[in-house]
Amino acid sequence: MTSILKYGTIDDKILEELRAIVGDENVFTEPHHRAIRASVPAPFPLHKWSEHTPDVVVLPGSTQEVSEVLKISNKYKIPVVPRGGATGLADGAMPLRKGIILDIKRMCEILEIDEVDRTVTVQPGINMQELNRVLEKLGLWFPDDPASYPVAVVGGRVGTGGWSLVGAFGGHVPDLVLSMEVVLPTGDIIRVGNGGGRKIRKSSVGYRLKDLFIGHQGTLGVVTEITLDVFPRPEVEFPAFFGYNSFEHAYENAFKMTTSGLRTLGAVVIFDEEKVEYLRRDDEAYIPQPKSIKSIIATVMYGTEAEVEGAKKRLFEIAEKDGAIYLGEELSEGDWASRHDRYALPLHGRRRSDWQVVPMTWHCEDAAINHSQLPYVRKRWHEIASRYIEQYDGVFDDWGMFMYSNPPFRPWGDYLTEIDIGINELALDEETWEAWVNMKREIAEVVIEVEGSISACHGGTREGDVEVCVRQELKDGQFELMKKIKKMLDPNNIMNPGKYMLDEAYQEG
Amino acid sequence: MVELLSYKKFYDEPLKKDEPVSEEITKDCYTVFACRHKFCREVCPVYQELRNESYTSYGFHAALLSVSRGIESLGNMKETITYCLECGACELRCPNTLFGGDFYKRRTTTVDLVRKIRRDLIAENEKPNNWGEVEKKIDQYKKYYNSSPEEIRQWAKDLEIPTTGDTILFVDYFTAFQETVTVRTAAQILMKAGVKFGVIERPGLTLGELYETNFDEWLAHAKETIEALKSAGAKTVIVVNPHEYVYLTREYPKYMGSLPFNVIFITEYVAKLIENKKIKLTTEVDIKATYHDPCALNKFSGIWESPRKIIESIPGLEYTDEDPVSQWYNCCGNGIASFKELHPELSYRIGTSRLRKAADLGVQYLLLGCPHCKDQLSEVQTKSKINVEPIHLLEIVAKAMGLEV
Amino acid sequence: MVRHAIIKYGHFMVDPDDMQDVIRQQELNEEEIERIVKYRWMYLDWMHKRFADKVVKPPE
Ligand SMILES: Cc1cc2nc3c(=O)[nH]c(=O)nc-3n(C[C@H](O)[C@H](O)[C@H](O)COP(=O)(O)OP(=O)(O)OC[C@H]3O[C@@H](n4cnc5c(N)ncnc54)[C@H](O)[C@@H]3O)c2cc1C
Repeated sequence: MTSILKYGTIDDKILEELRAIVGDENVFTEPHHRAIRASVPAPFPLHKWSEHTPDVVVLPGSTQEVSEVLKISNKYKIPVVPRGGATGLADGAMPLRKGIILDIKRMCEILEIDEVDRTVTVQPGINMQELNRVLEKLGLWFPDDPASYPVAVVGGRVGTGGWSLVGAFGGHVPDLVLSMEVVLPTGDIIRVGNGGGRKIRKSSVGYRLKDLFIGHQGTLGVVTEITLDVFPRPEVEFPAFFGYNSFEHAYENAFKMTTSGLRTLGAVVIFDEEKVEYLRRDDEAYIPQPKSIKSIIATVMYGTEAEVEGAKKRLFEIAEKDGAIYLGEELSEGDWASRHDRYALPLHGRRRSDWQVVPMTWHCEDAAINHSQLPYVRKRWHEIASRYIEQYDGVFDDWGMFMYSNPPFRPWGDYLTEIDIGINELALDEETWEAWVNMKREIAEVVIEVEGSISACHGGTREGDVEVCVRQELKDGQFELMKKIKKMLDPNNIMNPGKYMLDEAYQEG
Repeated sequence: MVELLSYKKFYDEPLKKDEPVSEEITKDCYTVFACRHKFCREVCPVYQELRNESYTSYGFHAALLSVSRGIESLGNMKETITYCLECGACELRCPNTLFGGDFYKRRTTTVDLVRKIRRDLIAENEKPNNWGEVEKKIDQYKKYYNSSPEEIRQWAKDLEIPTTGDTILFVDYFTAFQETVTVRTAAQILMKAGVKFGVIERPGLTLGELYETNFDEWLAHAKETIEALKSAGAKTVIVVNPHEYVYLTREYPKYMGSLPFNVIFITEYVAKLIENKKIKLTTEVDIKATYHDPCALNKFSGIWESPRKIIESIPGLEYTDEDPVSQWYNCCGNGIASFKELHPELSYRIGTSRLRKAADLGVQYLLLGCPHCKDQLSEVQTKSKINVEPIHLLEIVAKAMGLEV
Repeated sequence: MVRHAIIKYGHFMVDPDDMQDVIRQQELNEEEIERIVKYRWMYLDWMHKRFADKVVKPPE
């Protein structure tokens, strides 16, 4: 197959036009500005850095500027990759075809807070921590709480269709977006919502186009304004961590917790045995735990004091009846508060043969897996990881698994299932990169085998995943339809080209 | 005495334009690149204004890593590396420090790296825009240094302070020649409390601009300062300028080992005097105020309690606190060394953001613990007319003691 | 092969032997280590306050 499209090159004339739109001070061409924006936190092929370095970095300041930039890109056929917080773990904001990086973090205003209809309207470059620091003064709360809470921005949350740690209580990004302004690849500006409503939470009018613009990884346009649902700020928080003598033990108790009907339960998280061992490497909270504690469940409750006071007793009954051990206030509170930081430091990495510390980055698998399949997936994933670690010790490392309750507004049925793999990118070369991609592919294929979904929050755009996503997970007509939609909205394939193998929409033969 | 030592010796090896980046520096940069959480970015006061991630701890480390990989040349970093206040927020908030620094005995040291790159670039004759302003400042300070003893002590000419003593009030050239109110106030408070202290005749230059351009010269001055303090008989050195406090407690010990005297910051000293009833706060000061944590104290030195203790003991003062962790995000915009000379407009923007935050709390006064913050924010206030008056907290203490300063 | 943490200055620390070959420790004195630990707890307290007015205690 060959592509029927050819991209233009960015020459001085195009640079001048870009500068005229956003101002000289917001266009960067020096190599380091571009190199910094080549990668996101997914393992990055450092040995092929230049292949992903964009040609130019543009920092727009308004919807109008975004629209003008897209018009130029469409006219000259220049690829454009939106970049938000650049914390996406699926390489969404990593350029595959060079072009323009459209870094939207300058657009970070809160445009309106509506205390009566309970919404906030923001630009895409604001992060949840910044937003909540303003909302909390009004007794309001935007409940999207990814582990990247202080850094991911709302635009990127929408671009990935993100998942929140407390989603069982407060829902996830797709549940919290009421309407959005989107600049299409042609530069046209549209508004999508629930029907035509701006602040409406449920409507039956028209197609559900809003959903099309959530989780598209910047392949269909750029979101420039978002109206979000806001919650009352919770009166109380109650984190409680419990210890178990085996993974199976925790797994059984997690079923009882998630199906208990407790509405204040914001999260139920299983730490498997490898995860607990890993935490014992360097974490002051876990090192002193007795050896008999092999698996852990973390829970958290949010709500009014009256509700949580009652619910916490019930939760303890469920845990204690199964012989779980409460791990104490200090660990529960401290570890819950460190949920955005603690689990992935580069120095966690170890070379297994001699236990030397090796700086590694962090890969986080995030499949959605049904409760019934967790033990099988766990066994297979660790087997796969071990095989590669044995061959490439000091390059890869198994950091254990978390299983988080996955559905919005309820905790039962399926889990965001995460295996964390350490990768020493400094040691990557053609061979080890290929090994990495193969490892990922094998991991993804297990997900298909159990009828799960490869990604609950990051997206299926990573090398290794993407073929399994497109050829297997989306094979029953969904990928074919995606290609038609992509070609219709983006005739010149300028928006984040190469992602989700959507180039195929533009190929013949 | 609290000496806080964090030192990566391999930073002392200079980077050269046409030579490969050493393996140790490469791994050091990689350890920040590998993190990629980018919490460092959000806490950065420069980022909060410009929203450009090139100008963050992650950006600097990733840029130098790209140099090590042959994607960029070192000289091209010369403008980028000036976009740092050296406020220390990023390296503190970095999970490598906050969540693992103690365990691994290895932490992120962005400020040291920024200084190093700046210094190495100047040595390679790669000077950023506006560099003339920095040179002018260094020259100005050399003039201060070469002034007569009378000129150096002009700020205290009617106070009759000896030049020796067990206890020495350390007065640097910025506070001796420019922001003189702060040291004068400090001296008068100490005198009224009955503290016997001296001021040395001629300290060396402590200047951050010199530190990050000509290390050897800066170190020679540092040695001179230590010698002068020693020969004046110092056992305790009270410091009024937080920047100097950082040099004395964090930087000098790196190169000169433990200092032969105890260094204490003025707010720690004054808080003790209040506690021991040596200072009596009797006059009501009827104002509404909040406090700005100076970066050098809050982010580098672990000093945030004593200023608050002092403020809370002032009769009549209605105090609204912004907690120290929230203040990791703040800076007055002056920066520790050359930032303001190189980026006057940006410095002003950061300053106005800081004043606005205070204004949002509905207070009349922003209390300060640092003469550089005072200099900077007073200038910003005059220009922006934001309705909050910056004032050093020692001036309020003096008022409450009934002192005419 | 798994080596465990040692205790120094009353804190858990990596066994220095584990940081010889690939990445090394730096100079960091006890006071600086204490400072990091203190800041960490401050930060964690601060984080709780961002999410709710209060943290409730476990049942008896
Ligand atoms: C430490 C850590 C923890 C994490 N924990 C979680 C978690 O708990 N839950 C979770 O969901 N994710 C998590 N992630 C992943 C990541 O934070 C999310 O995927 C997040 O939604 C990405 O947001 P971002 O702003 O960083 O977007 P980026 O990475 O910049 O972009 C993500 C995608 O969105 C596109 N995009 C960005 N802005 C726009 C826009 N304005 N319009 C259209 N498309 C756009 C980009 O092109 C890209 O394809 C974590 C990441 C890290 C590093």
